[in-house]
Amino acid sequence: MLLRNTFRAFRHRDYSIFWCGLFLGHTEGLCLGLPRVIFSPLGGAIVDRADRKILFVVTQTAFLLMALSLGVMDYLGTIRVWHVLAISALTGFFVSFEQPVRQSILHQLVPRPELPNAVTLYQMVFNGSMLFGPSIGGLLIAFIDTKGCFFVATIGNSIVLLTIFMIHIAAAPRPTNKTTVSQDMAEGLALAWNTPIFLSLFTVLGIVTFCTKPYTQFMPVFARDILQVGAPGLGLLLMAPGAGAILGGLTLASIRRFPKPHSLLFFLAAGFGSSIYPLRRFASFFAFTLFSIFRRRFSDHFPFLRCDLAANPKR
Amino acid sequence: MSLFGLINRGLGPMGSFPFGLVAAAIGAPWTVAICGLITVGLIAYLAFSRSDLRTAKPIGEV
Repeated sequence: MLLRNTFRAFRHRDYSIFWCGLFLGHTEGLCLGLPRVIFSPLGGAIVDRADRKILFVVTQTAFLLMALSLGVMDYLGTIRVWHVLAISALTGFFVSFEQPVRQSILHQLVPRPELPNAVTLYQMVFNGSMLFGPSIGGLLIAFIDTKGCFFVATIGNSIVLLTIFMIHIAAAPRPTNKTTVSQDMAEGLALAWNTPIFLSLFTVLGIVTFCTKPYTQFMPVFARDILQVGAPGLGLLLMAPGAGAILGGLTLASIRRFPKPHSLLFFLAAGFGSSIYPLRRFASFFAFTLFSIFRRRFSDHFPFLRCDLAANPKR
Repeated sequence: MSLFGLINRGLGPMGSFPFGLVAAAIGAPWTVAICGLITVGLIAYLAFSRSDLRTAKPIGEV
């Protein structure tokens, strides 16, 4: 009786389909995020031991093959929802190894004083592409269909693969004491837990990421039901934070250092949270888009500040 | 770095699942507002409760 009452809305066919679609959309996010959470500590430990260049090549090749397989399946008309979910889970798995490799080679590419600037510019292109990507993909679908987008992604991955061979990536130094991968993982987690500055920085990052990143998932609802601007408007809404990411990144890249990065970190974290609060009331597409640009400028200051503060955890 | 990646890239998609379910119940606008309020509340709590972040100094001042 209780269950029947709780789930009574499912008796309506259209609502059931709508809910299942929403659930499936967020299940894709779960498939992508869960392997990252599970395998990231392992990825970090492996990166410290393995040849970084080989690991980088292996992960990029995996991304290339996954994009290609989705394109081929789409072209043949055999693609199913579970294929996309499985590829998402595999992507999450490989990202757990690829991301530590990418971030660990940054300090080899620039001198230490230039590291915060390098991290900012890296984050700028990363966030910009993550936010511009879906909108450009949305526009491309109209011309080359989804299969074409998968093939474009394959070409993109091929280019990334080529660039790996154009830069010098030094091998990780051999550890002096012989520890196992599980010991290294435990040591990394213990370091983060027991070093107050790391724990605080990770907590701030965790709160902001968990609570505010999902807002982009709701953009289609805002575009369709609240602002009523359709697909072109949705594309602009998704592009606006990308513009904010680039503006924020350029601002940061021009600043050598902040006198009080900790105060700014709290201000920006709270600012990002408070800037998404008013979105529930905006009925103007123009105001919503402008606010999206402004909002993204808050979030893009984080990597710079984290890098600045975490560089010497013992202070 | 891997822990940074775990939190930065892993927790976002993880958050979309529970907040997606909340949105199915109360709608996207209020879910976004709740996300914002939770963020501000938790950051304010952290700012007042963690002294180590307030005393941290940037690179070059150590």
